Amino acid sequence: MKYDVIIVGGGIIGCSVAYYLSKRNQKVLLLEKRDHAQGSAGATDGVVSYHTKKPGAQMDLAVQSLKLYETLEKELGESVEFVPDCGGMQLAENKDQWDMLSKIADKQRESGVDIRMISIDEAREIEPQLAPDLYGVLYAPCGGKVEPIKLTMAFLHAAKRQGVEVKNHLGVTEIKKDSAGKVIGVVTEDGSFYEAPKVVISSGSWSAEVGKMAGLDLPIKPRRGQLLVTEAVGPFMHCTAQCALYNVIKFMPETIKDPKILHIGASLSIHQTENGGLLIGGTREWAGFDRFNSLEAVEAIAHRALRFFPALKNVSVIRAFAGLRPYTPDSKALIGGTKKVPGLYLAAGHEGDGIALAPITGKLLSEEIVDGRSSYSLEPFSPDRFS
Amino acid sequence: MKTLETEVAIVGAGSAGLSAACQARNAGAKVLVIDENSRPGGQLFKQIHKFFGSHEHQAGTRGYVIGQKLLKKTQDCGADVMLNSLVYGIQPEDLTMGIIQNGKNCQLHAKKIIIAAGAKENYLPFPGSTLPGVMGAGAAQTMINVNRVLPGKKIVMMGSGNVGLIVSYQLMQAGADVLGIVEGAPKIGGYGVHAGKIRRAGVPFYLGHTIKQVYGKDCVEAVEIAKVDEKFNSIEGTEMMIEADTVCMAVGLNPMTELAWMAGCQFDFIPAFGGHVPLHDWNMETTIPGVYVAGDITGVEEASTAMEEGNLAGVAAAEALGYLSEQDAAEKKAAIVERLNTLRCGPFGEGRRKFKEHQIADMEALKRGEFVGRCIEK
Repeated sequence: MKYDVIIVGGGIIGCSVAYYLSKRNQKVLLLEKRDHAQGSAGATDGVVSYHTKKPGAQMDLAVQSLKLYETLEKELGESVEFVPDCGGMQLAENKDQWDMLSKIADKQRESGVDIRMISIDEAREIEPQLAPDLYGVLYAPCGGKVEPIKLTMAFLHAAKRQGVEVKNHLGVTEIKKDSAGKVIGVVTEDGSFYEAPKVVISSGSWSAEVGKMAGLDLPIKPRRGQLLVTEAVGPFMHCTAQCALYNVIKFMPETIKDPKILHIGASLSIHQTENGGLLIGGTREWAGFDRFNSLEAVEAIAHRALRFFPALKNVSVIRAFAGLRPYTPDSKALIGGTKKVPGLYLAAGHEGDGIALAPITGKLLSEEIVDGRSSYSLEPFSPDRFS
Repeated sequence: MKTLETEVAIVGAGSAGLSAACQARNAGAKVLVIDENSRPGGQLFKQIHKFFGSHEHQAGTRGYVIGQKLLKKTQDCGADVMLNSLVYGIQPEDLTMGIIQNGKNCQLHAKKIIIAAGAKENYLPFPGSTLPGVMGAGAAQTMINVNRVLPGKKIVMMGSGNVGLIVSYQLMQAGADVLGIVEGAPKIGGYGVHAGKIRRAGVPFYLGHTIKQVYGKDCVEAVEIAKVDEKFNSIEGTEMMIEADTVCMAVGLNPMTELAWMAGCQFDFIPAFGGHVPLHDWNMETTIPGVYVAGDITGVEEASTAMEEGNLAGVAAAEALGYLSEQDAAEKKAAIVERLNTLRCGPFGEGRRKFKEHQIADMEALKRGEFVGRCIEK
């Protein structure tokens, strides 16, 4: 069997890549070791904003991705519970955090977005449930939320309609190269060989393992994030919100000295889903591929949530879960081809930005694969930047 | 946050949990039993009927009396019981549990954990099944026998297993009318002796029937039943209306396995036991070292078997902690297993014994590295 492109990994990124490639009439095979949205997309929250992005290239990408989101439901033909422009907030507890957020916001504004610092009184007019003793808030009126599992499935359904062949519960064991070192296809668990001159690795936290099959040493590591789910309540909040520590832990971890915070990387990220339940994260921990919850994290997350939203005191938590985020050393994803193995492409390492960046990742990578170059330079995301 | 310590932590103060507590405590271990209810005893205190079986299983004694005896034994031996306490999480690597005690979070660190969480009632969805007045038969039994409240006056029972039969009879004793027992299968599921009492009271059995719909504005007002074909689909034109204010569902139970899943235990799927059940060995220890299970969580059976499994787990945990010599423990365990085998015989028990042996064989296979989770239907 011969294809134009084989995609290894059917999570939110792989499904997006499959969708945009098939839109360009590529003959695509999507291989998934388990099932769709079983990795990060099925175990995360649905914040799609740009105020949580590292200033610079990652931020630019987020801005473009959010533009794609605006028309995505119509394009994919099904609901993904996308709420555009619900707004996003980062909550400062004291002047130090306020100053730090102000600095980040200054840099983020360079990407041409509306991000401002507002007083807690102003913030409470937008989100009345916020604790009144907070110092102030970084506010981005744009930015939305989505249901990541539905988005993954919507990409998948649309890709299938466009002719993508999908095989679940079929892991890849080998990436085959010819004598010149160029990709020629993959071998799967059942011993079958699938031929294609181009292979995309979109295996999320497991990408390093798949990269090894092609002789690559990828610096992608699983970073665990734990979240709580509450019972459904009436309208509680409109924005998505994170505490100030969120961005610090995410892209300036070296500035944190408190070992307790560093240990599980607990910071708040909260939003309300369509059915009324609140999704409350989260942690950033090194726990290998372990996806269990820990009592320490459950308590820490609940404490953070109560600190910023005291009314949650009487809301019941009904479930906790954990997922793995594909971490990279510079907090930027790996998107694009690699010079080391001609024909091999990466779309992985998005850590906590995979949901927000899924559409733009699929679009730009499909351009690079089909046209040889993308409409926006993927240079900062080159998989070869680490060597 | 408060952190508690104990040697043997037991989740659930029902038949299995209290039995395990007595065994472990009497052997010398420090024991703490945790239960989310305000009273210990689990299901025993609502069982006002006499138990079956042999003399050593207190045949002829009513369930709540067995409960009182077990509770006294527990108090006398000095096991601690912590009530109004919900175990919400378990961390297998250090055997620590997260507990909400009277609304406050605390952690309990133990050397051994015995999960005896019991089972919960199955539910049958049909139009109107969310109306007030539609409830589990077990819930109705708790209302009449524990809380002394009659759930309704005119009752339709769905399910003719022992729970359906016993609760129907007790509802009549409590002053309600049972207008009929609806059963999908072509024959009565429970023991003849229970069914006989119901028949003599003049309650009709609608065998090969199902509830099609329940009507009512704010509560149950009428129940529409219909005959079913061999695939349990209702047959058009056979509908019949019963005016009733309460529907009780006795359509089986399923093990409360959440904590065992959280601990990372391996499971078999055994429909006869109510669904997914954790693998365990003859010590009742699961695939997670130090985590034991006992009672309905290991597969839905009866209070008598639950107590014996609790005994086994209690002895095994005490032995593992060094409170019982290998020989003493072996003698105790052999006697308990023999009693368990007596309970698992006869037309109803034989099947359960076979399934239990499968479950334990799979545990052995897992130890040899040959286990793949499976569904055991025969």
